[in-house]
Amino acid sequence: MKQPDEPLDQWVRQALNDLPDTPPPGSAFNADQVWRQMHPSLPGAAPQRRVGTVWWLAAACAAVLLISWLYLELEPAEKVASVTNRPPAASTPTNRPVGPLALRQQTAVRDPSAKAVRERTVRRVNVPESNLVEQTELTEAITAMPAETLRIAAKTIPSTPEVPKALATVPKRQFRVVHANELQAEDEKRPKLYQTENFVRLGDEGELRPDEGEIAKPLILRLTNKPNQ
Amino acid sequence: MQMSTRTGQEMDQQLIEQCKRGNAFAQKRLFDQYANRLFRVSLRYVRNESDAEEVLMNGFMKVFRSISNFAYRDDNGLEAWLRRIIVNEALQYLRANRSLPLFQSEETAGIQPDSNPLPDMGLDAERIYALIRELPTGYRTVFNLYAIEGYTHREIAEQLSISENTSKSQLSKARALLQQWLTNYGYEATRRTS
Repeated sequence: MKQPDEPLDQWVRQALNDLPDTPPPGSAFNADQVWRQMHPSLPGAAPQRRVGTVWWLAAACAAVLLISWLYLELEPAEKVASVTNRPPAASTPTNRPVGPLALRQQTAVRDPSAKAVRERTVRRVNVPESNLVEQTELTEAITAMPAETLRIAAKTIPSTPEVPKALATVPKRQFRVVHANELQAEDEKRPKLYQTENFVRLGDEGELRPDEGEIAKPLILRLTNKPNQ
Repeated sequence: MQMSTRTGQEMDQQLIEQCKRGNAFAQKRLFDQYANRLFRVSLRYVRNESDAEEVLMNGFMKVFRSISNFAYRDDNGLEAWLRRIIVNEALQYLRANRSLPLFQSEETAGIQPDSNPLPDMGLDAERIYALIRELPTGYRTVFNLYAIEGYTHREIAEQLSISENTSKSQLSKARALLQQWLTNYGYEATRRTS
């Protein structure tokens, strides 16, 4: 139990209650400065910042996943399109070099794990490449002309059968949905092309031509039935 | 008058509610409202100003951390709660810096204020406040807790880890020293209060 107050205690308490609501005279206390020091570590601001960071991280992860999914999803379709949109190999078999890239593309088409249904050109119009180039240049030139010039040209220049013919022969792409097996069957029917860089020579050891020896060292098998000789 | 008091109370209540939600603007308003007053409280326990600022900062951090547990009744309740936190923080600071207990080694004889506090001023509240700050740490702490904050000797003994008798003796010595200083300034406390 607290004893009754001394007069001094009462008087001191009363005097301190009368103190102004300011720092003591001569003090360098600055409430704003103290607040600035204290404010960053106050509770309330930190959780909001943490939540914001978490949201940003989640959004970034979602964006990365979406972009990678789109990339993986669209890439095979683009590959197939590039393969199917090529001019058919049968049309120019001798001019086209058969290299590793072409072989890889053929393998990609034959891959059983790829989609079963693919797009493929149906109507193939065999047009010589020189014709195609001329037609394209002509079409571009005509479309680039102003309308006035075209009208005057149509009146003055007699119509030649070559121009409409050329325009008519521009192949119009059409697509048909076929099964992958059909593609495979067609590919099997086609004459197969083999690489000629590596070969096996059978027969007696003869004199090699210098240029052949430089390109690839041949494997020579002797004509004998005994394997240890 | 009564109307304005009620409006002020409602505003303070809203201020507390906003502080509970972590509103920085409300926190700043509450800090501005009580910072100077509580700085003076802190300075009564911790003589050094930078230490008192540290006590104030730590105290307000605790205030904002534990404000969700505070139930607002009136302004006096709010201020008493804030003062209690600051006082506890100051005592903790004194304990951490081994300023307590210093009771046995201190002698009252011959102790004078370090400097003549506020010599140009009369014997007003500011001078009394300055004289209290000049008391030795042990006297000052017990006098502050008993005479100003209203703690009992048992509570002081628990807070400072001393015996009740030590608290009582420290208080009487603090009073005697303060009385002596005041008399030197020409003040008779008993006559003034009666």
